[in-house]
Amino acid sequence: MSKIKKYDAIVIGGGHNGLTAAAYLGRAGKKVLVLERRHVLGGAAVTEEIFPGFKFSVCSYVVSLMKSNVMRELMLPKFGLEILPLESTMTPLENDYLIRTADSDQTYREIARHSKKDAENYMRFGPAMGQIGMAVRPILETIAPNPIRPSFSDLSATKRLFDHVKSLSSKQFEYLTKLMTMSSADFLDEWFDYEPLKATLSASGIIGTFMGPYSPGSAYVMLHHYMGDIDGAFRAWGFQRGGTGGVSMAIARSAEYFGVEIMTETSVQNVIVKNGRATGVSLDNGDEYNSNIVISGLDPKLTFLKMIDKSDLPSDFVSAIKNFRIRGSSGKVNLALDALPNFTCMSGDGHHLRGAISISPSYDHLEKAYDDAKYGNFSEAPFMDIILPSVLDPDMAPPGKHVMSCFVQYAPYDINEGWNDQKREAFGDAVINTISRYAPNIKDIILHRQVLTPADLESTFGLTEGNIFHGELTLQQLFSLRPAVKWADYTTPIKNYFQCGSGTHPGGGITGSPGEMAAKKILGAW
Amino acid sequence: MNNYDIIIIGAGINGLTTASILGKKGKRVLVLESREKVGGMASSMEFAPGFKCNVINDTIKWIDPRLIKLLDLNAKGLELVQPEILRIILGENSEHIAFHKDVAKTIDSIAKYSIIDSERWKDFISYIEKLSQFLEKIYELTPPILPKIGIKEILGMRSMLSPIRKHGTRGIVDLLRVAPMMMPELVDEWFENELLRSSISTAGIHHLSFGPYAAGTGYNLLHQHVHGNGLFHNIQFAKGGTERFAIVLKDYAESFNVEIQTSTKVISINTDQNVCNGISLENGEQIMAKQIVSSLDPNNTFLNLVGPSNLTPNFRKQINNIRYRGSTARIHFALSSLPEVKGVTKEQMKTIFSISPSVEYLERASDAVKYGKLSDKPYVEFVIPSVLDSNFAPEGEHVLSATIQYAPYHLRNTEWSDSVKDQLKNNVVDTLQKVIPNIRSIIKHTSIISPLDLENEFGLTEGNLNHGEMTLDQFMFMRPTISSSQYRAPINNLYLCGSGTHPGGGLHGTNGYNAAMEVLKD
Repeated sequence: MSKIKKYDAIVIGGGHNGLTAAAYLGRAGKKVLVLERRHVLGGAAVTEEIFPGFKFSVCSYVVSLMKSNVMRELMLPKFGLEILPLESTMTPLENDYLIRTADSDQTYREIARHSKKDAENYMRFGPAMGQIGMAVRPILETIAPNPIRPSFSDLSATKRLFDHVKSLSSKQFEYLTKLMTMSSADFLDEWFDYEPLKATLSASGIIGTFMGPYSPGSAYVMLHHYMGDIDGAFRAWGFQRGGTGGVSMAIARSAEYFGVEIMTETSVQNVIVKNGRATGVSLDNGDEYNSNIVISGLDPKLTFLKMIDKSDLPSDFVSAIKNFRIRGSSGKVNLALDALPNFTCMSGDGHHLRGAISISPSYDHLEKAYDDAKYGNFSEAPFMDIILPSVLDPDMAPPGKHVMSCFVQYAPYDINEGWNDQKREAFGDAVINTISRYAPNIKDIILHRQVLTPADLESTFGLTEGNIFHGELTLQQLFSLRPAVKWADYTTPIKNYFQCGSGTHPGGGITGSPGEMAAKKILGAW
Repeated sequence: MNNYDIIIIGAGINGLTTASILGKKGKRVLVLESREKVGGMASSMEFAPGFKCNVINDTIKWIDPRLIKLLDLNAKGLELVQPEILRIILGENSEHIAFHKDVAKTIDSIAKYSIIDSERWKDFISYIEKLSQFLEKIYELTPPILPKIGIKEILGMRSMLSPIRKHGTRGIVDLLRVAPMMMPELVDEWFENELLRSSISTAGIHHLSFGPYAAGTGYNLLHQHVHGNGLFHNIQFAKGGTERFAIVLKDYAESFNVEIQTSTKVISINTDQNVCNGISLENGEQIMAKQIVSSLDPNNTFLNLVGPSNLTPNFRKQINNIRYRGSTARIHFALSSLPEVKGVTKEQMKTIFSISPSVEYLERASDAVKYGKLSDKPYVEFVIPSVLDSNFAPEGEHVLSATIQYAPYHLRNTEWSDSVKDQLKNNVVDTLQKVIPNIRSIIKHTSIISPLDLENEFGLTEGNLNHGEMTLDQFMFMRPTISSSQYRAPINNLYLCGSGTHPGGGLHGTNGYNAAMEVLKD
């Protein structure tokens, strides 16, 4: 059976990028339909009440990279966007701790407690990274040109980028080159001595990536995490009130305000292609929707290898997409707690619970965790980035109770002998055991736990191999090569079929950027 | 008679190359070498009575064709021999793949393990050749001063047009894709057989402190295949040993009245108000010259000879941040008879062997570096130079020279000592024993060269054979630093011509050639 209702655009996937693209198109007066397979919107940026009374940002858990112009143009604060700043980053150690807070004097004192030189350098490090972030921003905001058959606009974009690069200082350029290629450990070694500080900073270089802090290339991922900009303030991480899903919901409400129609529990089977042109989508239940254009917010593998029949794509493109590296390396453990965890190094409540808690005592800790995964095992003593959303937003848990979100690395998608229930629980145990080294009461206060392996992230959220960035942020998968050369400008080899997920430039994180830029590209060509 | 135009510090391949070119141009050149003979890393020694070895490099991968042409090296007595078999990769249980000069034979060798891979081989090597051709052109350029890209910089790179015309901008895109790759990514795109995959990966980790899972090993692989003419694992042996290359260069330079003093140690490069005007020797003598060229690595040149106080704080920091981390050791074994390599005939021994059963094997070997240990199961490459040249060992006896990764310069909780070297030797002999079962019973003498020995004997900082790691952040306009990548130090009249400059390490003379061109410009 088929429906005749015709749309200007259909967006596959109600993740935050798909919703952003839809909202921008709606705002331009287009008639848009968003189709989401799950019962909730948000994709990986989603809040769900997993256990009665306990709400979780099930997958993505912090926000920093959301672009300020997207927030403004889509009026997101009006539709419920409210970011509560994380107050600190604490690294618990066996007999000590390292804490950094929003108060720079306090941070200075805390770092100086371990190394005066590092404290001095830390005060210069943030601004230096901010400057590099500024230097990179125009590149991130450029639609990646096609270097094979450049059009006039590709050439003028290239010219603008050249001019931009020329305007950089030699020092900025030097740091930029280093950040693009080095390991985060080597980069940080140039700045700091104190191991827990270096390790904790290097952790942003491995998040979402199948690399260790000693792996060349991880410095770029660290830079990527420094490009965050909440209300124009660089490198400020925050937590969305009500959970990360609140970001997606705000975008969805904005989209609806602009007339976008959104359907959940509607699973797209494939894109309908006629004579090399996308004309609509067919659903799992056999329904078809027609539209002038189709936009996919899914990752490149799903966008092309699942949604499109291979015979409709050029073979070199198919192999480029097959070669696109999407390797999941992280898992998520969500805990419902009866009380607050009590850290040995800093007992009781305080700043340290209102921010990120990073289990990253040393490079070796992180690197050994990576080694485990490299050879096909989950880490017995993993790296973790932990937050307690209920401390910032009491609505997340019943009174007096708490939720704890643990981002865990590494857990390889391709684990030896494959993932099964037993392995998932063993992985969960490894996580709890590691936390208990620093907060011994953790085992006694767990009411419920949800363990998500990369395989679970794939099956639940449609993230291929459980990769949270829709494809690794390695040099050869950035800019004009993301996801494949010639098709990094949100177009695809299929006419009227576009892509807007994190697998496109400028990559993953809750940024809204791929969605926004794809919409602008589409509207420019309309 | 202290009036030289140019003093060159160090008589390795690059120092001698620069000296030859400048001498030929009629400059009055003095070369000062601290060791008792020329050659630097292209040296031989008698390590046990009657047993000779190439101390560091057994083979010469490629020599800058401009140098071969300019100096007519072949006519001057440098005889390079390309063996029939370029390399044999040894797996477990006497499995091996041989890479021949004749591609058809390589394909046959691969086909024993995988038909699909053998069918893809030709495409793969032409892909690698294509990308290397871009590097060949880049290597001949003096890197531009970035980020200030002007017309001058762009015109300076116009030689890049020829590979672009040949391969399109697609070629550049492929280069930009492959250079930052890690080995598993590259081999995943091409091959299924693990022995072949690891064999390719060995080219990516050559003399690096990283393993095949490190991003940027793609670039190192391409570096090994510049001027490879479409041959994978391309190598050449110099007849009479690698030092012949240095001797030929020395003779050539001397024919143009270049003075070469060995056993002469420079202890400082003298500067006055940021102008370099001469050097001082260990014996207190000072020699003046208009221009000074250092072929030493940046650490030795700037921190040891110029001195930190004569550098700007920013430049000093850049020099301090150059990463060396030598992780390669050498062991020479004097053997009482020809070793029997499993599954390999004597005729096939005129080649270089790699013991690399899998990519994971190589990666596990490299893990040791991160934790400051020796690899328990190291990656071992070996050559039996005595089958190529009977002068290397007494009649009936043989030499086996092994290159070992990973033996990090920086050890944790210990330092390089005789007992660490013994441990290294044991690990290597255990590894060799798997492919040469009788190895233990035929070893007569052993000479172990640790990264620390390389530093002490050859002045290689941290024992790094490339004068700085061959990684993308130390490549081209970043080599050795962003402010000194044009072969010029930020001190007037001081130049650099060693492997620490673009395009990096190897016995190719490109650095020396490019540097000479810059010296002549001024």
